[in-house]
Amino acid sequence: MAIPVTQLHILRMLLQADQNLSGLQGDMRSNALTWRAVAVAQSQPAATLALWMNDAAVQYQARLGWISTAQADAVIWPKLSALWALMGGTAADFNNVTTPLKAVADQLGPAAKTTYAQIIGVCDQITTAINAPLSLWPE
Amino acid sequence: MAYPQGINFRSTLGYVTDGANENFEAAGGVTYPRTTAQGNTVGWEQSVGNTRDRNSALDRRLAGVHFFNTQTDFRFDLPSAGSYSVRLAAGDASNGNDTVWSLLDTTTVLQSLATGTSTAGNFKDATDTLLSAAAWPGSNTAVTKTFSTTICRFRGATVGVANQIAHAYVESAGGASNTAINPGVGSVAITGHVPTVAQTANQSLTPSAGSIGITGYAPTISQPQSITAGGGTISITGYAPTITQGITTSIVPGVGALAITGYAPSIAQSANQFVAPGVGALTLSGYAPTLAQTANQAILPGAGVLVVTGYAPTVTQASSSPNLTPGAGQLTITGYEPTVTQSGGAGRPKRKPFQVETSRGVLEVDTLDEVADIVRAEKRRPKAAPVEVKLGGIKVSTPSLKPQIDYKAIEARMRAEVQAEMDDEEELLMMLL
Repeated sequence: MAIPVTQLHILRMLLQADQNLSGLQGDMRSNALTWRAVAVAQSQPAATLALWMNDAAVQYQARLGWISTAQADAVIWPKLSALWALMGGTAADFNNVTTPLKAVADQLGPAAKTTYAQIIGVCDQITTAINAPLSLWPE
Repeated sequence: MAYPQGINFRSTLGYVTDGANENFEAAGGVTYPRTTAQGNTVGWEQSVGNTRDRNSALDRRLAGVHFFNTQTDFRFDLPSAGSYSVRLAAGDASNGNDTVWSLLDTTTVLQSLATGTSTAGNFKDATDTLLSAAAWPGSNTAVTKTFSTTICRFRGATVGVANQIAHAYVESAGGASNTAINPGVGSVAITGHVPTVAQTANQSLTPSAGSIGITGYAPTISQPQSITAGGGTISITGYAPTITQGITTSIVPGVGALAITGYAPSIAQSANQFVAPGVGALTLSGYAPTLAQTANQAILPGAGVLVVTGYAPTVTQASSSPNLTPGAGQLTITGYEPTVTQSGGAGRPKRKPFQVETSRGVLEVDTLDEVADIVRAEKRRPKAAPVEVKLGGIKVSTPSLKPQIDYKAIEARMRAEVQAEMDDEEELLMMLL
């Protein structure tokens, strides 16, 4: 007999959503800082950097897609939303996080990245738009 | 995803400088999913509480360590199923401990990578070989496995004391996207069922000093750009091999050859291209090879050769300005029932034996009866003009309203031709005897 979906599983999904989105926020910012440093040092060809950035954009979209897939689940998401509401959270909390992340993911791929200057400009835009996630300890 | 991807396990980002395709893993907890600077998603799927910076004087990949004693997986999300090579450094610059690692394809164990334990300053590689810190960078051996899924896991087993890892590395064993095909000094061979080379704009297929061969069932090249053999060759063989190119591109073998063989090989080009082997040869052979061109193209082998051979080879050119001019080379069409079909404005039909000069111009006919019909028609005209008849270009009548066919002249000419043939045969017999 299959194990039914319980609040334990819903809690797990809620924690995974946090892990995913907080991690994505951190990754977008840290990767932008890394790419910027590499572009300034010109330690990698601009084309290589552009390839990394384009591949990261794809991965960012995939990770955001996990959230939108869960939001589209008519069985799971209402239970998750209900658990989240017990903690004082709202649906807007998710949108407030995913919207700026999705904007970066959408714009990163098509952005002009053929020169180091362009790459640095893109990275600066990302770090301006995405601050580091709240953390108990230095990250 | 931009593979290869190396992961260096330590405590502090700035402790050492990671390599070009490497990323620092800080752990401290569950880190999956984490997108690296190379655009790959990786991470610990279980919490790893022990991280250390050990020795910055060592290779950056061996400078730190993560360790734990319960089953823990480090996950790489692969871009696709396929063949991948993995490397491992399981050990600790400062301590000896357990090194029990397996490679998983999602949940399927592909291979045991390392077993047993290591000693301080030594590291097990992916083949369970214990190497010193000095030897590992140049001597570690990769293991190549085929993944049927897109999840690669390095699994550290539950051990009595502590399992440890300093470095993990995954590399595609096949070609990734956006890989150029430039054999340089060498060759690129694509074979099998429906082998294809599909390139988008701005790539070229340039063998340089080597060759590019595409064989098999229905091999194809689809490009909007040129195919330039340079100092080598491009060959496409097999069942229904095809080259399809958009407008304004050319097939120019340069110093070399462009050969298309097999069953129904074809070149199909739209307007404004040319097939110019230059100094070389353009060969189409096999079953029903075809060259099909629309108006205003030329087939000009220039200083080379254009050869179309095989069963029912055809050259079809549209009307207006079709041109088959070998220049300083030759144009050869051989095989079973070869045909050249040209329409409109080019070439001359085979000449008929009798030429009758009339007021309407020169009429060519096959028989004396037709000559007589023309003469009678001219007589009935209001202003009949003299009619002159020629046989093979030689006059055989006197111009008059009632031209007389000089049958004697015709007979004399025919006798002279027969005699000339007999003289040739007699001379040949004398030579043989």
